[in-house]
Amino acid sequence: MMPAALSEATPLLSVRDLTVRFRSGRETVTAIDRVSFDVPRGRVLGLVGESGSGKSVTALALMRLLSPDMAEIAGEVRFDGRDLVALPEGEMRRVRGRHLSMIFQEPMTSLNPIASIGNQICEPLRLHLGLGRKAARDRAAELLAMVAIPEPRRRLDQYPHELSGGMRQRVVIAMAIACEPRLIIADEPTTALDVTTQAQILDLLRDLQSRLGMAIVMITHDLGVVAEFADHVQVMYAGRGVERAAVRDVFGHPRHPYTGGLLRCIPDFDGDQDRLVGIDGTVPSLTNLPPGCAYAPRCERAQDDCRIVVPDLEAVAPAHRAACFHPLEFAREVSP
Amino acid sequence: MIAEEALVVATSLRKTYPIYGGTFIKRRTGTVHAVDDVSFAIRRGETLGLVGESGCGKSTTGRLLMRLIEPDGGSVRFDGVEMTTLDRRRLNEERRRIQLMFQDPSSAFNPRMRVGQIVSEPMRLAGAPDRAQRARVAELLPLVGLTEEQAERFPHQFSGGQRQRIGIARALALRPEMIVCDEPVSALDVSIQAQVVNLLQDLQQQFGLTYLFISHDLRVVRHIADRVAVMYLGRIVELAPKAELYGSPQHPYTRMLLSAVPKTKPGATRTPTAAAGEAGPAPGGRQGCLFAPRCPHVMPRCRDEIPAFRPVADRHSAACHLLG
Repeated sequence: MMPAALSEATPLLSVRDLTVRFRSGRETVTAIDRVSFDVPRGRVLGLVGESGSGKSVTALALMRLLSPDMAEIAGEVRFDGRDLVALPEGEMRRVRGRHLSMIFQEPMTSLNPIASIGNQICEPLRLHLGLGRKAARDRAAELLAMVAIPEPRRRLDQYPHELSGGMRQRVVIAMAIACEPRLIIADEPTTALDVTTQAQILDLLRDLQSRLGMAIVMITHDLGVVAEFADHVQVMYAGRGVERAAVRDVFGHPRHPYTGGLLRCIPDFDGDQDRLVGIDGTVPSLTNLPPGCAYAPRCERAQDDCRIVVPDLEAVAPAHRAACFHPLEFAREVSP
Repeated sequence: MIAEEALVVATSLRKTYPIYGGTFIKRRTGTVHAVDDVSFAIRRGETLGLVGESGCGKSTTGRLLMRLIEPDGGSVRFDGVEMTTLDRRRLNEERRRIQLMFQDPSSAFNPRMRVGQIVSEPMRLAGAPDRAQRARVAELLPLVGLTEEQAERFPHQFSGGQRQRIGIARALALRPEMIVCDEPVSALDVSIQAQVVNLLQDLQQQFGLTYLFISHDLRVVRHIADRVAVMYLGRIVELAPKAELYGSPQHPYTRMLLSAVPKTKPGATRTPTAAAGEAGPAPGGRQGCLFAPRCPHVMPRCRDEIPAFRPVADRHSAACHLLG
């Protein structure tokens, strides 16, 4: 099992220079480029970005769910002291679903349509915890009760299509927490849900997280979900981390012009504004990134140096990093 | 709302669909009330936001307005003309004045047509000569932030935001007075969303367009709409000017909906569990308030008496027994 007695100060998950390249024909595409972050025990890291930013690829790389035939993975993913990138597949299988589990956006894609809810929740319990048929079934009913599904015993014999979208996502969460993992990677877990259901699922995740002391990597494009749910935030753009800090600092004093721009794009919910301030241009294609900072072509602060050299994610303040040669001033308040 | 100043008036619109069940022999086992007694009016140049969760009937309402779906009951008057009884020919003429914009325009484009053909297709169908079509395309593309040269390209060569601009250009081709925008920015990244929202607002100003803006995104609707209607399971439960609706929501469902929107100021968190339950058919049928099973303030009366949709303040109406 996991080596015990690691000091509390060591982060649970420590990602260093994680790089994923996809081969397609003669071309190689770098989907994520030297991404680094830490997730302390029992805390929530929000991984936020637009489409093509590499947030889902990061999740799949952490779970080692990318086929080695297609993807080349470099860097280090230290989880509870072990480097997952170097772990043999057999050992990885004992980690996956046991200490590290994942929640996907679309519950129907992670549920088996022809297996009963009960059998699906029992599978990790029997596989990882070695529970017998009866014990696993009892535990499965308990788990359904934990995720607030009414009449859990009866639900065990139902099939995914008999449940609503929100209920299905609760079942997926029940499966993810079945073995009380130390870390859950949640990839857009509420994006397919209505807003009142989203609120309930976020409340549920928060409650489970504090009760079980799990850490969560919350991957989302929704800045509201991050603001509400995460302790720390990493903003991604075109496969690179561009800003990382405590949630309060990222939303209160964004230093990377992209983060600042993104926050201004969200329509105000309190005040009144005549016009939204969008970000001009489009997200660059990963096959055709500009030589320097990938955001430079859209950036109002870009200078010549930005177009030549890729800036590193460096400290701009204590515990606040931004990958920018000309970051926004600290005093700047962006209030979305 | 006074009928004279309204461009479009919908009254008691109704659309139901049969549900079929049975293992071997399919027979009708029930009815879905997609749109149930929906009434509203939109003034010329106004934007009415229509919000609600999936399955509440907001898209069906938009299509009923254009008679892309035949209503089972009720009336739509567009600029004084009753749409529901028009014959095909007259309907096609009137319908040029109302256009539809989809969430994902690329699913509405023929991938083998060039952008110029896509944009001018409504004109071709209306019998406009080639020259006029080409001239209009040259006029429209710069208007939506594309270049004339891009008329020769195919839709797959464009990003999502640009494709939505093509969709807007096509919707404008016949110089409509009104556009039904069905989740026009929902599939776009936030940084692109703002560009498209701004474009829609600019075009509205320039051409005096009237919008029915259908969206589940309460932030975007708050930004773009003048008034907002909230739908729940086929019925409008509240309708008010946006400042009123967002500032002092009256219907318990509107309150639940608004409280569920994540705040973007860290620290300013939602009250947990303010949102409860899910939208689903009311166990007691449709004779009471459909929100009763989820409502924190439910009273016995709510279960067997449909609350009337009535004014609660100036230009502000809601359907709730608490407010009677």
